[in-house]
Amino acid sequence: MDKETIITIDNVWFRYADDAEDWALQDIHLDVYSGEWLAITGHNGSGKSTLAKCLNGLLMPEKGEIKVRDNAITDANALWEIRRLVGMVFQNPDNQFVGTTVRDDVAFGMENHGIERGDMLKRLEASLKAVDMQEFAEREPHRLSGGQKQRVAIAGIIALEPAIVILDEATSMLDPRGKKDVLDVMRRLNEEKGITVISITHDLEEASSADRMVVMDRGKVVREGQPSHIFMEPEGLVELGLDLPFTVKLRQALKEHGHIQLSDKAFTQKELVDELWTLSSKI
Amino acid sequence: MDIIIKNLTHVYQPNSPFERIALQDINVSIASGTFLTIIGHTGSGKSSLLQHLNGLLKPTRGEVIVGNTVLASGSKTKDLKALRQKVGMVFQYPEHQLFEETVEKDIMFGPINFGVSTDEARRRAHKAVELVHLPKTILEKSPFDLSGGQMRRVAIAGILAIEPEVLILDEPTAGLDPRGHREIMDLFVHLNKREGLTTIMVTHNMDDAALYSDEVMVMDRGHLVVKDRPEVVFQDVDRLNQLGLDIPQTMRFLQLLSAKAEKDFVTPLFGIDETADYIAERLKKEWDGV
Repeated sequence: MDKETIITIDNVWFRYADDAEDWALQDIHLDVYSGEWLAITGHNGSGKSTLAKCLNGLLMPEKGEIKVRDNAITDANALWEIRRLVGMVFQNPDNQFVGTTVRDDVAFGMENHGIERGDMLKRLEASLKAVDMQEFAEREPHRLSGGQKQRVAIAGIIALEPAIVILDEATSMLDPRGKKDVLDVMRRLNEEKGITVISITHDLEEASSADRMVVMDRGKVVREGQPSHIFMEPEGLVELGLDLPFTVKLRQALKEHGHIQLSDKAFTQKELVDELWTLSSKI
Repeated sequence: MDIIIKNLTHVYQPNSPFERIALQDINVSIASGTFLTIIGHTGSGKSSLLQHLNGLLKPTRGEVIVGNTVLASGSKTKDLKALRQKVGMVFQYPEHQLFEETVEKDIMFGPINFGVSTDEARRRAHKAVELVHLPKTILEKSPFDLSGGQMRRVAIAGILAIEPEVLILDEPTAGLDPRGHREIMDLFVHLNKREGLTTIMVTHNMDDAALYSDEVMVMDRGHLVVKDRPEVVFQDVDRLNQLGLDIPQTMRFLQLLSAKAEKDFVTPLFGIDETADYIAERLKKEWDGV
């Protein structure tokens, strides 16, 4: 796969007060590639959300440089374009509505960006369709379920044709069905429209299915790579406030408790089922 | 403290075009010291039910009896304040309600509100901090300088300092990292088993429901579907699927394995090690051609 860099983060430092002893971010170097699904995980207070807020200039690093497609976030003239390119869905679905109907709400961002009316109506239609909410256009946002609210928030973002969508723990307040609906919609946008997804999450099962993952600890990036590689070396992850995904834990238990000779390859549940089954048919 | 709910029906905005039945003819009894988990979809009535337990909502019909307090439609409940002291409610994201300058003051706020002396409130704050496994040094800090997990513990300590007999938890682990999640669940189990607090938890996390509760109660569109031990509730996979509810991940894996084997391996197991033992045993039987 050809990797085109869409965000570069170079030597970034951030702290919440000029005289704070603790840096919320220290010496972050990270590239985000176009079209990838990148999961960022780490304990509470590790700097995940702070980093996310730096990526569209909601927070400004004290040192270092962040560029989104060659636009530096320190360039005030580029900030509007950066915020169009980098959309953000926050944790609490109730804190991000302005419109009295779903339609108004999705239109709000486009009006702010001066999108011409004819074009706006087309995009409105297409965005609501993309998140499976077209039937809810005339509804009041506050009467929707959490998962539906988050999908409306996503529609408002993709109407601006962004290159990147950041999910900042966007599914952590949802019930299992709402969560699945939101992730399914994002996966489809990722695959079909090539939208880059950066997902800040504590959910290791979700992180496991990302193309790449980053683990943060006390403001630093401490691991980076494919989820299957990161969870292959479980040492230290628990100390970082994380856990192991279910499949990895079960695989270990099957080896240690069940005395089944398994390889370390299986990473998804399906792979583990297949390996168990291959073993059983060999005997 | 025993809790008995008899023929409880709750209607929002009755006799108006917006009338909506939130709870319909619920009958439940919860024995003192039980760890009960309530599961169900958004809109199933879980939160409405919780709000009856400390008198935030009043029954439209039927009654709720908590210890000696009776909440019934039509009659005024005299000792609501006493009830709220006995039934501690931890809302979602309780750390959003922290407001004092120091952790100690924040924890003391609840007991003082219930008429406890400053000295006694301070003593309780110190004890509550220990109960939630935070160091004493934290008492002098600002609650806003703490990590998310610590802030949640402080908020919970504030409820514990009121010395409730029943603890109500609404999605207590939402937003916590895996370690924070585990630690906080361990804390609730400890409070339930060691301190004897009757615990009623609402969660979307089926693993927690299965692993930690004595009993699981399933709700759907205002109705009580079933209340039983987790092994019994999660046995009925078809019904849970119909209600759009998940099963614990251990059982989901057994489902996948069953489908592959074209057999039925699914059984209510919730711990990873016991599930591994069970799989090993089943596969060895397969291998031996039993």
